[in-house]
Order: sequence, then C-alpha cells, then structure tokens
Amino acid sequence: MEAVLNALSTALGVPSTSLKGYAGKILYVDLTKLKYWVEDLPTYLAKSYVGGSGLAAYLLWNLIDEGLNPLSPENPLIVATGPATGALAPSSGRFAVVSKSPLTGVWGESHAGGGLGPQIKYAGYDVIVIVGRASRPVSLIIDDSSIEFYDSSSLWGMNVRDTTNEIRSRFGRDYHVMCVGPAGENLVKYASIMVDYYRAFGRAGLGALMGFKKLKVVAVRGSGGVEVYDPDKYVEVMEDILWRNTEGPWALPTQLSLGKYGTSNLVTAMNAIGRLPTKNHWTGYWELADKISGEELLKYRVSRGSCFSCMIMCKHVTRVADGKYEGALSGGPEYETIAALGSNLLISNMDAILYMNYLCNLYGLDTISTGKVISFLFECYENGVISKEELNGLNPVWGDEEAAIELIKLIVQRKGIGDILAEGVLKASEVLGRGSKTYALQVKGMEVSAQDPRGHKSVGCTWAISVRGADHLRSLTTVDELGYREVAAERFGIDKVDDICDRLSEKYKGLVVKDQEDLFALVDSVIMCKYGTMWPPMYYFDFIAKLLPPLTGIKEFGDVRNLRIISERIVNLKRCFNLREGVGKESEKLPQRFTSEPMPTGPSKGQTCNLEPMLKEYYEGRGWDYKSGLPYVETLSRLELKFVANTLKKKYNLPTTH
Amino acid sequence: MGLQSKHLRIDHKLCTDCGICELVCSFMKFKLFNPKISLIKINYNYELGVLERAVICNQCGTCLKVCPTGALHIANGFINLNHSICSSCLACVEVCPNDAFVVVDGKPYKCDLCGGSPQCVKYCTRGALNVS
Repeated sequence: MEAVLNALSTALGVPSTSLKGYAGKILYVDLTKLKYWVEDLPTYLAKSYVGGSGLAAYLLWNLIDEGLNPLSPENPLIVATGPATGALAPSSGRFAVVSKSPLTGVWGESHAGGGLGPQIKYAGYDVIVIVGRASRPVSLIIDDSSIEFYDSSSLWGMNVRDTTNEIRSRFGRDYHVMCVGPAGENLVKYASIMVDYYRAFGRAGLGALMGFKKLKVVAVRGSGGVEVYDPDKYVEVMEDILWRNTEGPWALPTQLSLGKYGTSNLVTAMNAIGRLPTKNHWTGYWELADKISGEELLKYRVSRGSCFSCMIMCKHVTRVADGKYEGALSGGPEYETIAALGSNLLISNMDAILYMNYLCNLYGLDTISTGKVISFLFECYENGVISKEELNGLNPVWGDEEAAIELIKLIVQRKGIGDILAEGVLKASEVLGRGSKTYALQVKGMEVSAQDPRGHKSVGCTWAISVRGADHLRSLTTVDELGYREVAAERFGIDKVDDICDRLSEKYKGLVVKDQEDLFALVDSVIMCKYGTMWPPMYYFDFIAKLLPPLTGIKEFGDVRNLRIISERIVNLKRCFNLREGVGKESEKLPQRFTSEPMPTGPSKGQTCNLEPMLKEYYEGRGWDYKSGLPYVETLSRLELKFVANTLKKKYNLPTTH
Repeated sequence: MGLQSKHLRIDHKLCTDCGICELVCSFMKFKLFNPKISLIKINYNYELGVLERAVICNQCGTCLKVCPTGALHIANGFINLNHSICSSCLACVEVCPNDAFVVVDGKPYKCDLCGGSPQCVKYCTRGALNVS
C-alpha cells in the first residue's frame, strides 16, 4: 500500500506549495502499522479535481482495485477538505468522507458540517487518507504536525456524546471530534460518523468502515491559517457573499425559512405539494403533518446554531422538556429525520421523534436509512411477511413509537431482527424473502431519502443516477420543484421554462439533473453546502469562478467552461468507479412503488414516475451511450480520463460516437 | 467599566457560533484566515448551544497604564497600538484582564475596532455584535 501511495505522488508533478487556499499537504495514516507520513498535494491534482470529493475520487480510484470487500483494511477512509474550507467562503464549514461504501459496495461519499473540516486545513492538511486496520481500538489525535495514536480500548462501546466529551476533556476543548458510536463498532451498514456531537456523515455507512478499522475517533486542532492569493480581490468576493446573504434577492426568503426553522420548514412545504414520505412512501401527503412541522419544532428549540463559516445558520439544538422522553437533548432533527422517523412511520408525537433522533445521534446511526429500515419492517408486518412470534413479541404497527424505539436499539446491538435490519433494506429483504422486496425502498442498496418521484419527477432521475444510491444530495433540483422561472431561463433557455418549471413533467428533467449533478460535483469539491446551491439557488458556476482564482491563484478556475469540464470529469470518474465494480445502468431503476403505484392521496394524487425518458436525456447530456450504459471513449478523452478508459476497456467494449 | 464608554459588545443570545467574526478579524488584520490569531474569540459550547464567553477588548484602559513607550494610546476614542514605537515588552498582554491581546511574531496586537469601522460587526449577519 505504501509503495502504491509513494508511486502515486511522485508520478504527478510538482507539489503545490505555491498554491494558496490549499494547505498543500496530504496526510497518510496506516492504522495497521500505526505510522503516518505527509506528502505534497500535486498542483496537477488541484487543477484537475479541485479538492474535496473530486480529489478523493481520484485517490480512491488509484488506491483500490475492483472487487475489494468494503470492510477490508485496504479500503481507505478519505477525509477531504476543499480550497474554500476555512476561508470564509459561503457555508464552507463542511467536509467530506469518501470510501467504497460498506452499505452499497459502490461509490461511498458523505458530507458533514460542524467545525472539524476547517481545523484539518488549519492543522496543515487538505486531505487525510486512512488505510489499514488497528489491532485494537485507537483514536487519531492531530495537533498540527503532531500525530498521536491514542489507545482507545476504554472508549470502545461508548456513545458519541461521552466519547466526544472524553476526548475534549483529555486533550483540550479546542479539539473538534469525529467519532463512531456503538452502531459503527457493531458494523451496522448505515452507521454514521458523528462530528462535534450532532453533525453526521450520515449516508453510505462509512461509520461501519471506521468501526471495522477500530478507529474510534479522529480529533483535530490546528493553529495555522489559510492563505489567500489576492487578498484585495478576495475582499470583493466577501462583500458579494455578504450582500447575497443580507440584501440580495434570496436573503429574506432564506432567513424566513432555513434561518428561522432550519430544514424542518420543509415538512409543511413538502406536504403541500404531495411529496412528504408517509407510511413507507405509500403516499406523499399526511393529514397530521402539522404536528411534526417546523413551527412545532420551535417549541423544543434550545438555541439556533450554525456550522463554521455560514451565514444561513440552519442548525439548532433541541430538547424534550418533560414527559416520557424528558432530557433528550440533541442537534436537529433535520427535515430528512423528521420525515423518516415521523410521517414515514405515521408517528406524530414530536417528543418521540426527538427522542429517536437523540438515540441515532448517540449511537451513530444514519436517521434516513434507520427510518426506512423500520418502515420496511412495519410494512412487512402489516402484510404478513413476518409474524409477532418471529419478532419475539414485538408488535411493529404504524404509529407505534415504542416499537420503533425498540427496533433502533435492536439494530445497534444487532439483536434478533435487528441483526437482519442492520444490513439495510436490500439485504434484509433478500434474507426475509416472502415478497418483502416490494417494501424495500432503495436504489443500489441505499434506502431512499425524503422525496417522492411521483410528486417531483426529477427526483426519479436523481435517485436513479446517483452514484451512492437513492439520495438527494448528488443532484436534487429545486428550480423545477418550486418553479423558479428566472433561474430556469438563465440556466436552460427561455424556451424550456414552462416544461422545466412543471414538477410533474418529465420533460427536460434529465438535462436539469445532469446540470445539477455537475454543479454539486464542483460544490462538493470546493467545498460549499447544498444550502445556497440547491436551495436557494443563490450560487452557481459563475460565483465559484469568482471565488476560486483570488483564493487559490489558479487562473483556470476563473473560466466557467473549465469549471464545467472539471465538474464533468469528477462526475464521470465517480460513475466509472461504479462501472469498474460492475455496477452500471442496470442499477439505475426505481422501486416499483414510484413507477407503478399511482400516488393514492394528496396534491400529487394519480401520479407515477416515468423514468426512461429522463434517463435517455441524461445519458445524452452526459455523453454516455444509453443502450450499453457506458461512456463514449470520446467523452472520457475529452475529460482527460484516458487512464479510466484504459481500465474499463479491460472489462467492457466501450462505445464510440462514430 | 473602563475609560471609554463605547466598545465592542456581543449579544450572547444571538450568537450562533458561525465563527465569521474570527475569520474576518484575522483576515483584515493579518491577511490570513486563522481564528487562533483573531482579536475577538468565541468560546461556544456547541453541545448545549450556549455562548460561554467571548474574548473582546472592552477598552478598559488597563494596558495604557503599563505601556512603557506610549505605543498604546487613545485615538478616535479607542485604544490603539502604534507598532512603530512598541518595544514588544508584552506588559500589556500580561496585564489585560480580558485576555484580549494576541501575540504574533513576538508582537502584541489588540482590537482597534478597525479604526472605527469594525469588520466583525459588519459581517455578523445575526447582529450579535455591535459597538455601543
């Protein structure tokens, strides 16, 4: 492994010590040997992949071969920041963890906020690549250039809050902490990695990989800073960011929704358009949605918070003040959590939703997958797939909060049915059989997020093509959902506005999703938040072209055409990572609930999602052959991905355009 | 309260721990984004969602009394530090009751309210910071 890494770094040109914005270093950690080394970030990689998930995609492609079991010592946990991290770019406290996903066996990527990402930059690293597996529990304590492997046998089994407190009281309160809870230790396939108590690398089960590596904690503090190439010019960018967040057209709508309520505001908004997941996505409308609304959540709010370097500030700490769940104090719950554990289970008791959110954050579980796994079991039970006897007396009926809470505990401990459910809905449905696959709502093995392709057609395309499986954060668009005509006209041309702004039409949605996936590939590499880029659509390619040159000194980043090529390069590399694993177009389908069962109630009643026309349009826009599901050789050449084409040619007969 | 009536203040209830004041401060003073050398510091308990302490110069004037060279002086109603005559003795750093000095490359630095137009206040979109 070390030899491969060394070869990789020497082959790729000069180090990026002259680059600003970047720390210019990659920290490699080998947990098997308990050793580490630091290498320069090659300028070529910064220019070609920007940073964050783009850079991580390049590293992951090169570090592992196809067919590797995700729970192998060789599977690296890549913790990545971007050039914007720690440099007052908009909503730039976020950072990425990338690996081959233990949940899906394909591309695994997750992002979290809080304050740890910037500390990695201040400590002097753009990326931390963690390989190997420790023989006993260990924590990685990073204080600038000092790297300590801290024996953490005493922390093993501890929940996220206690672990975080323990580390901070031992090493210092200025450390920011990411860790796994018991779910990660027990290799629950949708275990999260928690950051600063409440922020989650939720999706793709990367907590299971961290648990497998016997890595309990990564704690970082840094005392260096991020340098800027052209400070005077950068002040102009800062002024622009301030204007957009205080006086620009999106400032007030953002503060009245995300600012005031956080993402919980979406409960009411999504119910109003008929795409609030209800009863394992049976429908998109719930009469009791007001009981779990953003307005309702305000009653529990202790304080409004923020990720580092964000002017939107959508975070909050909440607490249940009395009753059965008294004292449940946690961050969130976010919209996705409220939907997954609330309407999706027909649970309208906000106290219980907060308590389940609290448990998931303590144990280190992805709330989205957890909610969808539980609703899967509820529906199986309703339809006689599984009996009370097989569940040791558990009675999982819709709306039963106690059953849901019990299931969360069983999953974390992998006891009884919990051991099956800990594998995710796809594997669980394969184990249970008896027709349960109908209720397993997933794409590529990842449980679906809180949208519904019947009430928002482009979601179907987003879920299908998403490299990490059914998920919103790779390409969810709001331009169509909320009918932003001006934005649609600017981005796609005035002739398409009517069709694009009809959320119930499939027309042009393949195009819109492709564009958004490109944008998000860049956003996840810079790194900025989806708030500001997904909703509101406040920042687009043109803004990033203004942001990056004065920050980094890389003039090429100032050309939107070049940024778009970089975006496509990153998207293609991730898709080709999945292809190398043998996962391609055949995986890009939706659960039949969304394609064959018309929405039964609510504002989107009668709708189904017709995926094929969107997929065809998407493939055309991507420069991929729809028939074979493969990229054209010319597409990979145009994107300087010949090394990818050469690898794929061993496995596939890559098509050409002529 | 100190010699000067006006100084930087923070509303604990409005602060969200975004850290932008620290970023702006270090950038405007040192052309570097580094919260560790910011002249305002936010100690926020993000487990409980409470601002525990903000390190802010309240212009109390204690430092003026110990400065041997007169580098610390009052200008435009605020205490400024003239580095050209500062001997870097750091007496001011030791005596400051608010820990509001930062030492960079051996030299002391303190908040001078950016000459009367404090950038941290300007960039605090929640309005948690003000001069009053």
